[in-house]
Amino acid sequence: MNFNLSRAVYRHSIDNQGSLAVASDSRELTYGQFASGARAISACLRTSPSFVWRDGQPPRVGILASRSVEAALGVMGAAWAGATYVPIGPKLPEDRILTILSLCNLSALIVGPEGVKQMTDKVLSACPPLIIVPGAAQFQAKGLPGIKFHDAGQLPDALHEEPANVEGSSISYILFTSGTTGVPKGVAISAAAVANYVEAATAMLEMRPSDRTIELTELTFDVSVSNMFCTWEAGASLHVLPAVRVMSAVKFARQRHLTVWSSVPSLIDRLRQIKALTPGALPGIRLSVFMGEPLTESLVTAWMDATPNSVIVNQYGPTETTIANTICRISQPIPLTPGRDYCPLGKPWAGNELAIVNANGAFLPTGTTGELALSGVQLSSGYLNQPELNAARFPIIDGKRWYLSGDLAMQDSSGTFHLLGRIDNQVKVMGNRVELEEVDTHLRTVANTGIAAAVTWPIVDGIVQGLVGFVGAKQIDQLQIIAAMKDKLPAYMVPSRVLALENMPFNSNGKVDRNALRQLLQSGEI
Amino acid sequence: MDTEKKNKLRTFIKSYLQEHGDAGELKDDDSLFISARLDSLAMITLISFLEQTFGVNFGDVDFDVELIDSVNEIELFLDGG
Repeated sequence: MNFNLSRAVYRHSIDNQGSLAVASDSRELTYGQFASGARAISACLRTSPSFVWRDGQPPRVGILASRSVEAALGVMGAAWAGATYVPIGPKLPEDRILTILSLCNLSALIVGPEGVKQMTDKVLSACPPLIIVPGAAQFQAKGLPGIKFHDAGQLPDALHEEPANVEGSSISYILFTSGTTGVPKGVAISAAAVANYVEAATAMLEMRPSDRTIELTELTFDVSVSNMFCTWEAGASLHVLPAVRVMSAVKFARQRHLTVWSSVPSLIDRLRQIKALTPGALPGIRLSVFMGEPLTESLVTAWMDATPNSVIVNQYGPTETTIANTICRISQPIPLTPGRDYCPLGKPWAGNELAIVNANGAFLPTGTTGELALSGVQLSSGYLNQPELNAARFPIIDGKRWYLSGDLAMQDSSGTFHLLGRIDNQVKVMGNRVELEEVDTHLRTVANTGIAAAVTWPIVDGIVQGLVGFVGAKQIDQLQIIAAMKDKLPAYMVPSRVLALENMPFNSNGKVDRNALRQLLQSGEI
Repeated sequence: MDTEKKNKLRTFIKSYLQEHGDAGELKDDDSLFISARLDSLAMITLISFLEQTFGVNFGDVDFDVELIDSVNEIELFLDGG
């Protein structure tokens, strides 16, 4: 069997070539055009001397693009060629882009219009020898030795270029997520894992050719994998809204007659706060999929009012186990986790196994709280170049490989799983995973101090609105620290406020007491 | 919109920018959100300011970022253009 992620698009390009595949406000492609663009990119990649397999794994192709038709073409072109795609956020600071480039040994880089301004001299000097970028001629004119530039729009069609044969164990994509040490970690996901998710989700969500799906997610976040590949599996169309226009999402969905909504819960919270989420605002939505954060009861109620004809589902799954592994259908009365104001994680689907374990990795019985562990075909093959972390987070228990999620959870007597917190300092900010230690590390460096800590703040209706940083010092230059943090980290990891605190509170383990810091903010003392 | 109101609006946006480490110039035509100079949290703050200060109800609006993307666009929007 060929596990190539592009095979559905290939099939639709023959059977339904005139159907819409992907659209933005500036560009639309039918399946025929989408396949044509992808195979041209594929042929360009495959004829490059840099496109070589290493240790049995395919070449890696960076995608410096997001939320555009060009980003979708880049992903599809890389997939068509049988490569591993590695999204690199076009809004990331130069430092972060250089770190990711240094970690993943790319064979080629595909740049969308939104990524061009990131192609600085420093980034270019760290780039692979093949770059597909708008305005390639201007880059070629710089005379950089050893790098070939091509313009995606000017590549010749390659009619006979069929999707490369891809094994199930072949890595389809690598996503970088926050790491406690200050360096992001790359999560590698196999083609068989993606196939299990896409097949299950497309069937469960009853995705159909007439569906029109919204894309509100960055390519660096795996909700985008679900949006893209479930939509294309069904022969439906994906409608992309750039990040800067995300708060126009309700109008966009209505104008484009969209039928499927997919986002993190905190986005609809923000839409509600600007009053864009009015009752009956989206009668055309038939299905709404939420994942990435706890889905609270008050958001579900607001969403049910806004989308009177929608089925609502909550999905759960860490990046390390491929997009999602459990599903919970939400109907009246809204199901809630005992003692909490948010919906359950639900139950796993075929190919996934969930269990609750204690600190020694022993399985715990129903009704007991412990760490949520996941196993099955959707398990990542591990973090890039991190054998110690892999041994710790992907242990063998009773002869089977598991992923220890760090989420605290319990399973009730009906088999439903419930999220109850974290065992560490990983938090979600607008659905983005943040290890607070990574923020701390950079705060210490930037503020040139030994002690610094970040906390989530404020939290409104159970939803994290942002981060506040504390620095163990008498006085600081807040604006300078924030500006320096922006040069190092993605925007969602940068505290909106940084405060000086001479006497930082410590807990009995000698660590900065984040709860005490949050209480200081709560009490208004600071 | 009279000059006093427009000044109030400019002052509000300028002080928000400054509080968030942006001491740059603000022209009436400068894009605030499409340019990514301000984020969605800033938008929530701005909308709440517009509601409280100018009495507009965003619940009645078919909201689009472009309606409030610059000082001039906000003026046009508030004047019913």
